[in-house]
Amino acid sequence: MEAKTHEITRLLHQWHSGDRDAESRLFELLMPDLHRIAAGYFRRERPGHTLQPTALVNEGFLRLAAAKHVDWQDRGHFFVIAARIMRRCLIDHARSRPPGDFLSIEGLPASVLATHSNLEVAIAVDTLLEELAVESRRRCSVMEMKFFLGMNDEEAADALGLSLHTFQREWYRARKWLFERLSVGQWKTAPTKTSV
Amino acid sequence: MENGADQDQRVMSLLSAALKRPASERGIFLQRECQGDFELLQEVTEAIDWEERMGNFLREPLVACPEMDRPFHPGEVVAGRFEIIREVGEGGMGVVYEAFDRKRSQRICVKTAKLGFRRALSPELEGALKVRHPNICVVNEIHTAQTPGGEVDFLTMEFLEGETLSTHLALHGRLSPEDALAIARQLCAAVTEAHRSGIIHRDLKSGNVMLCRASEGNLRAVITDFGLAGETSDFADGLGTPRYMAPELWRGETATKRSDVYALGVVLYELSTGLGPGTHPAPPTAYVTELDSRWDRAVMPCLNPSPADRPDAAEVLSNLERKPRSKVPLVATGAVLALAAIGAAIPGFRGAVMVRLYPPNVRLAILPLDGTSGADVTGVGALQEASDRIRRLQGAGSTFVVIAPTDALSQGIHNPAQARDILHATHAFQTAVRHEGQRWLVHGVVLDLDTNIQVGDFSGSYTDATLASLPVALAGAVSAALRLRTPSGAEALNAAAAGPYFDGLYYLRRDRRSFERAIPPLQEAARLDARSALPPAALAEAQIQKYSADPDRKWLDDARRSLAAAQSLNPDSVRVLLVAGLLERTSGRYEKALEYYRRVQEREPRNTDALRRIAGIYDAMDMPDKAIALFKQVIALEPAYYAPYSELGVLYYRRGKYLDAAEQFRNTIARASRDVQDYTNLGAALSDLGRDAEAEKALEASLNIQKTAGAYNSLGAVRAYQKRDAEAVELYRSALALNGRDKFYLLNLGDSSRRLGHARDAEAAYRSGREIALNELKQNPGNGYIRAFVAYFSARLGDPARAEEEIGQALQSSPGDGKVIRRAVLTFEALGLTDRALDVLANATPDLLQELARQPDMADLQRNPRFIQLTGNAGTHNGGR
Repeated sequence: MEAKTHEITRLLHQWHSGDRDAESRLFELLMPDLHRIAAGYFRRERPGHTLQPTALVNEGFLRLAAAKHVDWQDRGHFFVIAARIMRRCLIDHARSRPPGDFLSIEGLPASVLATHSNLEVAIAVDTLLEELAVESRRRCSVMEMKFFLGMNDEEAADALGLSLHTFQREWYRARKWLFERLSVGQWKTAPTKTSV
Repeated sequence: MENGADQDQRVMSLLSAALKRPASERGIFLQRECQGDFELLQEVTEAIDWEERMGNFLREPLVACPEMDRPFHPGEVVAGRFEIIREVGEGGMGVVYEAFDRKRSQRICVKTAKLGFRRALSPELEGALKVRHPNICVVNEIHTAQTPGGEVDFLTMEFLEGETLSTHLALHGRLSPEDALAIARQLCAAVTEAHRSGIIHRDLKSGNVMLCRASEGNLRAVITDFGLAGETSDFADGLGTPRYMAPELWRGETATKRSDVYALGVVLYELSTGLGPGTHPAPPTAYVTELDSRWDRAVMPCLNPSPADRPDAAEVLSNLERKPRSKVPLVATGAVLALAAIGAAIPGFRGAVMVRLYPPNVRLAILPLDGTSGADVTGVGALQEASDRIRRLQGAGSTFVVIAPTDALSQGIHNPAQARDILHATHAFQTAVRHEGQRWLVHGVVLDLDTNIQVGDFSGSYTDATLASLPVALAGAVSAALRLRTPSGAEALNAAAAGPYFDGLYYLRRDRRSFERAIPPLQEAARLDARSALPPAALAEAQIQKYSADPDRKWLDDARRSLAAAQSLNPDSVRVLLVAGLLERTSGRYEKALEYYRRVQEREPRNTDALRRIAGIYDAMDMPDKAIALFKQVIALEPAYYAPYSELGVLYYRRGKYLDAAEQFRNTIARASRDVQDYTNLGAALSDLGRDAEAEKALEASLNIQKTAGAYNSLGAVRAYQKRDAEAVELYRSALALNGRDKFYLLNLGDSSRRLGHARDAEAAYRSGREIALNELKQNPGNGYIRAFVAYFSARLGDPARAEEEIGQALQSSPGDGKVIRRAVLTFEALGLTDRALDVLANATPDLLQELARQPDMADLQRNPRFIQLTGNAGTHNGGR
């Protein structure tokens, strides 16, 4: 555990300074834990208060990183990467699950919602995000943190090192970008399954 | 496209402000706000358009999982012995419960990790549990429970009643130098003891210090979570708290005694100054001039960046103990100035200042519970006890008024909307108690009635064994929600006595007539808890009520015995003092009563209950000016509370100042618009002022709310003054049907019947009235008002000698009482002694003279030139008595 923690800290730093290899290493290291957390969502199906995945990921971070050795700032980086992993976990998991597990996505024109299941919309968002990432990596992260990890604006802005309003504007732009593409209804769901 | 963070801020704040407005107003709003910046206007307008189209698109996260299960739930019995009562706290990964240990019959605290984050506790923890010190929270044992989610380890520890030091500082600011010193000593002693045993806290902070009240009312500080941090991050927040972390910990070094001392220094800094030390700490005396230099000597070395240069906890303590040499004022002033300059220069320096958040004046209505069938009596009683406790909480720098559930009930208030509209309450505390088998499920919310926002909530599951702690917990919930201060002094009750005590309290406070039903359960409670002063004090109150209804000395003796029992248990308890005052007052020993009430005032200077009672005694002692001044003081303290206005109004009324009385009754009604009594009082005052139309309106309003004897009687008097005696007789009879033993109604009935020529009816009424008055007089021979009734009845029943004698005595014992003067005038007129009546009238108020000028039996007097002269002068007569 100790060795792993140090490794995560080091990788978070490297990744933050732009090292793309560090990202895939981090994926490998964090995926099993975060995947287990993601799987946990689907097992708990009791109605009642809802808790966003972010709370679990926060705790996941605490468990992975012994406090005294990790710069508190790394938590922000951790969230960014965790959101990306969570996106992968949820989409993968969802493909093997009945579509009812996803919450419906509001706002799209009725014609779109009537012809696509919640799962299909979610997968379409996932696919479109690849395209968005090319245009703006940051907006992609914003969407991952809000839509897949369910973070609140303040936390997410903090993790990305943005002011709250800058963050909110980025989020607005990302939503608008996706809305424009999704409301046309001509998109297709990508059937590829990511392996973990 | 990127215009920087400023542009983002402008766009997004305008967007969110515009979206909050109705669509029709947005255009004007934006044009005004954008001030000709068309690009901005266009950008925001377009964004609004998009937001409207997108709605909640992608706003909700893709998945939301149900809340992680709590390991335990209220009502559950864990490990066969710990009954979970309610959740009292939640950390990142842990949950804290109030529980009841059935084996040891005591309230305890259960601390555990949330499901999914539990881990077996490490064996090293055992060592930490062995430290025993009065200022360290005692961890009893580690237990393991089986739950549907698997095995759960949990800790049981002492239940601490109070608030954390960090909460206290945030709400009330720094401690007084005396309290600060007392707490600092205790904290140093605790840390010294733990370090001596080789235990390091690792996460010492003001959030881990509980401030409790010891039974003598002294503050007791208790450090919690000793040794739990680090070892078991499941139980404490495993990460150190940055503000308290010594510099070496930031570098990744492990925690030591010296890093604990650093944290101790931060805590001492905070409690003495109310501020965090920040990165370049100034000595505490630079901020708080009342502190002496020992604080600088004790605290500053703890904050030394180099661990080796920090003292140990014992040295900190001895530095605190050493009295300082006298200060050189000039140097101190210079230091303050210099530091102020530094403070201004460091950005964010003031960020450390803790904000005091006081709600503005609070007028809290404690709503009655619905339903009062058998099983719920206990629940209502517990709420009443909670309400008594809440009444004594103190608003910090703002006024705090509590409307008890019985008051709310008597005015027909059942829900928050009524509390807001009728009582003008700002907050309501609404509780529901469900009795399920052996359990009471209690749920409560504190609502801000302006915004309808819930500012606090409470839920718990209680049994007979745990019910005693419910009122304390309810009061705590209100105190936390409204940020109030808990008064000193513990008033505890054991589990067995709780049920009967609450039953008794319910009947005691329900109205003034249920004392018979209050007495047996209170006796039972006193027997079951021979150490608590609460049951005998309440019992004494019930016995005093009984005496007031049936003035037989033996009830008063019983009350005296119960009170003595309460005094032997807790002579300084505010409740015992209040009952003692009441007893002395009831026995006519006003000076003694004043003594007790003054002691309450010393203990709780804002306790308006005591002030009002003192005012009442001044009134009874015929010192109206002092009484009026005190009532005005109470009103200044609680301007929104209706009761003091009503009491002041009654005082004015009794003194014959009807105009002042009417004003106070109107004030009362403005603050509690459904109080029957005040409409009735207003009606009586207005009718005495001759404003019949207004009086009728007030009395009819009163009868519309509730048919009361008082309102019927007053309406009868209005009719009688209009010479409509036949109608008056009917109204008096209605009053007597509701309360047949009121001498005043009988007197009025007698007068109206007499004027109608129904001599036999009149005589019967006068006779019954005299019998009642004589009986009352026997119990209270010094009361001139009652004696004046005896005199009048005697005059009407053809016993002039007795009448003259009694009225003389009455005037002697109550020379300033307007009602006695009035009755004397009527008595002398009934005896045909107009000159004597006029002599007495020299002391009358103008209001009284005006009223007598209209009184239907005063024909002789009204024609008398001396009387005409008196009433003519009344305009310039300045309210003498």
